[in-house]
Amino acid sequence: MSALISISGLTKKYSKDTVLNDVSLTVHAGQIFGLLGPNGAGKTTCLQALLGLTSYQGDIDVLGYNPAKDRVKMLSEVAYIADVAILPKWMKVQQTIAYMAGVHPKFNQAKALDFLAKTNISLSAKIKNLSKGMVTQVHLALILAVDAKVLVLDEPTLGLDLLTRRQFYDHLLEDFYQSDKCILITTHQIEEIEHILTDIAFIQEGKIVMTASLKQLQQRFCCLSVDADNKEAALQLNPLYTHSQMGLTSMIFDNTNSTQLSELGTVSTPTLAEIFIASVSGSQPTNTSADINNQGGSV
Amino acid sequence: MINPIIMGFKKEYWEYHGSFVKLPLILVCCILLLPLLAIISNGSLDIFIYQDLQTSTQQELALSISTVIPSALMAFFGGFSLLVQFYYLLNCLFDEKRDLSVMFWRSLPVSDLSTVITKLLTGALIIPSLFLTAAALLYLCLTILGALILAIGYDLSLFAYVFSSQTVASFATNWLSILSNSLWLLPLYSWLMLASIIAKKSPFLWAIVPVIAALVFEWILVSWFNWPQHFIYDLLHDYFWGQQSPSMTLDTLINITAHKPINVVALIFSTVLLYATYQLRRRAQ
Repeated sequence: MSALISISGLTKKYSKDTVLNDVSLTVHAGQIFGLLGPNGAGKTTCLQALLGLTSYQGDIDVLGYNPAKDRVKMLSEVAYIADVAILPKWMKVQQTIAYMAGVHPKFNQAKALDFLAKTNISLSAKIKNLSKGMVTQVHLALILAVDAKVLVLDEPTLGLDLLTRRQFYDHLLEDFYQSDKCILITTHQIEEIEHILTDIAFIQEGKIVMTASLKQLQQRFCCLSVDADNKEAALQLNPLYTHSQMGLTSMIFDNTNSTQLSELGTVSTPTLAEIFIASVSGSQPTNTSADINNQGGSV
Repeated sequence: MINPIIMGFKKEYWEYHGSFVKLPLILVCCILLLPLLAIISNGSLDIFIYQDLQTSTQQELALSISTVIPSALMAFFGGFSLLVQFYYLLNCLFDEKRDLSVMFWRSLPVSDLSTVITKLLTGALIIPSLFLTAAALLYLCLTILGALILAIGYDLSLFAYVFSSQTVASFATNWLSILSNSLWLLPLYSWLMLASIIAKKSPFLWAIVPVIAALVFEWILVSWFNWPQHFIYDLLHDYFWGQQSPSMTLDTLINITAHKPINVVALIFSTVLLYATYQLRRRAQ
């Protein structure tokens, strides 16, 4: 696999605050890479540095380009959705397509029109008159029509309803993803993208605390549910994270023999959200459901 | 065809076509409708035409057609053009920050330098050109209509004056004066663009308040500490009122910039402001 994105020793400081501290990442072709971390962990700053939108210390290489020096050339081969609500509200849908066709060398106008033809969005409609879900579809049509090797998504489905979020990721896989491309994504809704991610990095307080493939995570971590009788015995095995609810205690173990655990209770594969919370949270959250942003720690 | 500069101009046109095209066309229509209103209120145009014919010689009518009317139209449309230019330059970089669309624009392979230059050229050259085009269009409509009425109703032919070399020279001078005016006003345009990119809420206040504050501060220094002169006030006064605008005079086609010597300091000042604007656009997130 060839590296499409290489980040080494990335550091970003705002006066006294260190937002990114010696971040190193590599994203290869074929990977769908999730950069996950609580609010303020430095995810967006990391992506902004990656796209040459903010100054930084360290080395970044995107498709052979240095984002700080070759931002315009790099963006010819990188597609980016910062947030779904940033399309200019005064523009008509057809104007967004005409503009992209006029400035982006790798934009396929016919592909964008085909995508929009499957929706109920009128080309003469103004962006400000569309619902947020429709604006997302327009933005997605524009981005998916770009023949980019790298797609960067920063909270792309923020504020969208469940159905639109699901459609967004379905289109991403169907219309963009190929083995010679990569997607780098940050989002709060981990459970919705867990099934499409191939690799993840957990970031906390500007530092990468874990980088792994989904397969590695599934092999490495396991979840044990124990009743009160076996709780003490299980705690002796040094769980990474413990969470008690309604008399049942769930524990996440890292690199622990699952056969030994199964003697104490029910062993299962933890979700990505559970592994995330176990990895980045020192305190015990109240639950481990999909949207981690609604809990003590957020992605 | 990929051409970010051309698309940049198109984008500005799409966003501000109400001010760039609709407004001058509305002005043209309003002025063309004035004679119609005169007919509705008086029954005919005779009262005006008779008055003019009674009091004017043919030479005076010719002078009116070839110089006075173009000058009046240019001044009228030039005034509106300046207002639109100021409005545009104050908002062109502020609006994209306010609606967050700057993140979309900067996610595309278009350099910040070309964006800033496109917006400057739009404000400095495109807008006045569009307004002058509207003025020329209106002039042709008005004079051809007037000449037709006089030819049919009063057996008086003024067509030769409508297309006279003096008329063409009047318009050509004004067209060329856009360039010299732009150079003269470049520090002001640059200042407005800088205010536009700095402002988080009101670019107008950002453009005005620092100047007023500097003038008040200077006034305090002069009044209380007996400074010898008002440096900033004199500078601004000389800049805006000390030199004649070439658009006010129609007698020169050559050496139009001689009327407003291009101050090297003003050019350097403008370059610094534009560079600061470019750097701030590069940091826009």
